[in-house]
Amino acid sequence: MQEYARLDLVKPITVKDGGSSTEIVVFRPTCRMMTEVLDTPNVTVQVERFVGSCVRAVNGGTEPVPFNAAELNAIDGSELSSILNEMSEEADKVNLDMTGDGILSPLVYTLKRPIKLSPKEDAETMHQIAFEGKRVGDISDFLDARGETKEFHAFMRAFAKPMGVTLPIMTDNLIDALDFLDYLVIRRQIMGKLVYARRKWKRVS
Amino acid sequence: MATCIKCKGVLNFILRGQSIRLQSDGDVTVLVSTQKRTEAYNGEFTIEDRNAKITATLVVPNEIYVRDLQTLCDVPVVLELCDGRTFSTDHASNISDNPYDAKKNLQPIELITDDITELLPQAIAA
Repeated sequence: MQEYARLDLVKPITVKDGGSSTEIVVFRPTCRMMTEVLDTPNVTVQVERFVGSCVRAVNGGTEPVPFNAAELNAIDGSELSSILNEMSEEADKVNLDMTGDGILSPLVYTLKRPIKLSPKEDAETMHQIAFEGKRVGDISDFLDARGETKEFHAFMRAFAKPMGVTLPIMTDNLIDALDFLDYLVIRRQIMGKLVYARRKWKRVS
Repeated sequence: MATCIKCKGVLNFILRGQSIRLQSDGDVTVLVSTQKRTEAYNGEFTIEDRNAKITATLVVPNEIYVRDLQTLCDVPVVLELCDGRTFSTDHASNISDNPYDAKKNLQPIELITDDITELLPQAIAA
């Protein structure tokens, strides 16, 4: 996993193997990790899940080891929470270089981090995803989905189609493997273009 | 979609881009390897080439003719298992002679392919 950030702790923490650490490393999360983190509005649970999935303690040259989020000083916990906010801001700053509107023609999004379908050298790589408008009758799974993970998976399965690969649909493990930045850009900038109301109606009585 | 009776996880079988339900017990066999090893009388193994294969029993959707499933040829298939493992193949053809079960609306199929790819996707730097 690629490192995303490092943080020097204000107070050392006890790690799971019994030692202590003064520095933590945040690895670059995947879509799966981020949807699990954002699946709850409770900030404490979000930080716990974030720590559990992609934050590890380091001490000098030692291997990163897991630790309990409850061990963190409140200031350090806030720092982690601010990293999550920074990730969302990073996604909002992405300038969408897209073609199509998703209604009359497919909206094509180029991934910031392409997805290689398998570790083989000659494996296919997905660079783009096409989003196409659907009828209400075709998206019942999405309309019934509750929770961040289920909703995003249902959205991707209903509206998105991988481009440049022979795989005809977005499978669950393909969605899970998306980089957090691509997930947040799709979630925050593209999803709204295809499913959210634009308040175009006028009241007449 | 069908569910695995052991873990209640979802199984998803996609033929030509269309999702088709599997038999409710989700019984499915995937032979990814193209080699078959047989143990000889002296304890050594002989290796034979064979096609990769998927065996499953499909619930026939209303909008599909049974004949279409029995004569499937050169179609793309995606199989998502309950534990998240996903397999895909481009040129699957049915070779099963098993008949359609009209009482239960089930059609067993045996799809042979040149190659079954197990997907282990990961993001890479652009």
